[in-house]
Amino acid sequence: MKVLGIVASHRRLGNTEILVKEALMGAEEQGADVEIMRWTDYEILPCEGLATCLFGGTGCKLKDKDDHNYLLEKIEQCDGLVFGAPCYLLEVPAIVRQFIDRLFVLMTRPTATRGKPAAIIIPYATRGWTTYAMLQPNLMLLQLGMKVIDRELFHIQGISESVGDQRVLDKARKIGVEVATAIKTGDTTYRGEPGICPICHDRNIRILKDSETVECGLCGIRGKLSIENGKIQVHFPEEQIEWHRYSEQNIYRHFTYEIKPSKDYFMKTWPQVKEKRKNYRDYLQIERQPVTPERKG
Amino acid sequence: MAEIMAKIRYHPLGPICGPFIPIKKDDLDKIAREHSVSISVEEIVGKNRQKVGGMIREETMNSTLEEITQTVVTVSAEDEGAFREAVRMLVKTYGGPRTTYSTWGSTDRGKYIVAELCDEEDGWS
Repeated sequence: MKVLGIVASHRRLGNTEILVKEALMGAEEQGADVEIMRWTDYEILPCEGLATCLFGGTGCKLKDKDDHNYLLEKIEQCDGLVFGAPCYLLEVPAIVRQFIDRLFVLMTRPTATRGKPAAIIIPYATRGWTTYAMLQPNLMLLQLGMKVIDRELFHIQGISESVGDQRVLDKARKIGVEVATAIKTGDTTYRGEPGICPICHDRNIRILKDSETVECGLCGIRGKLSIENGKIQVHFPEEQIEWHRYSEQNIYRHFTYEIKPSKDYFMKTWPQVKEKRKNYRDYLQIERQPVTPERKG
Repeated sequence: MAEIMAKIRYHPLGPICGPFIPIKKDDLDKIAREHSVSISVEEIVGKNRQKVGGMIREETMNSTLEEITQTVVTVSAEDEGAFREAVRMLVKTYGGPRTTYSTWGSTDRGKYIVAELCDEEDGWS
């Protein structure tokens, strides 16, 4: 039983690292072999968006140029994951998004992550500035097909402040225990604080333009909103929950009917597109401006 | 007045999350009558389909847009208002297709109206 801890933070021995390590101590108590890595020690090149990994049939063209594949394989090799990232300006740092952008490659090869338990640890500084903190970690884990069994925001403002707050240390350790227990028992039921969406457990709900329907933008499930005894209720029908964006059938549907046929569409429309885009090639040239000494400083 | 025509291509498993709502000719005929437009339907079954673990799986990478499994609903009318209301009803009933090629084969005006109503009725954008 192997539990991997990921620290998606540049800061060494900061709150993210401390809390992930505390969780791993909890997992170790349960008999897990633990390992930790800091994503910012590795290089993740940006996806170039050409989708050659899918349409070229060659896999990711950046595979041997950076560490993304290595990081993905490390997640695949573990039985459970503790993922930690700090919340900066409403969200976690860009390294998480860099990793997610390259996950398109999952469509070109099987992955061993589906169904494995994972938990999210996010320290943050100021209340009210965490609206989308869970968005990217949830998206990443759902895209990997992992089961988020717990997630927690930790209100920790000072550098390494978490070491002095037993309440947050206990919570972090409990998360590690839960991940190890989920691996042992196979029970990946969500144990965290209930949210509105039954898939990602977040509370960010969109109101659609029809002003009748609400949607979890992350998971794509749709439902109705009502007020009962002065309280807002959101009801998602069971069939919506089963067909959420990251379900196996939906991922299959998306790639089979919404992505792959675009190859033929491209072939059909390319001659016309090629001709018309000349206007834009000739209009204004985008050139990198020389950086002034002032800007360097 | 020039005819406005849209081919709306619905693929298996539904255009939005949730189970696929079956497209029935009787229901389409009703929408056509109500809005005084012409609606026809064509079922296409893809060639590259096979059963995997009890489920039908299709490989679409090297198929043309016309070859893959789909239900093509063709709507046409000379009156734009009638056309709009019929398309609006289709999108409300079956959801809005999500790709730009799901209206492949439409007139430009028909394509733009479908895109506009998908955004309006199906929550996108």
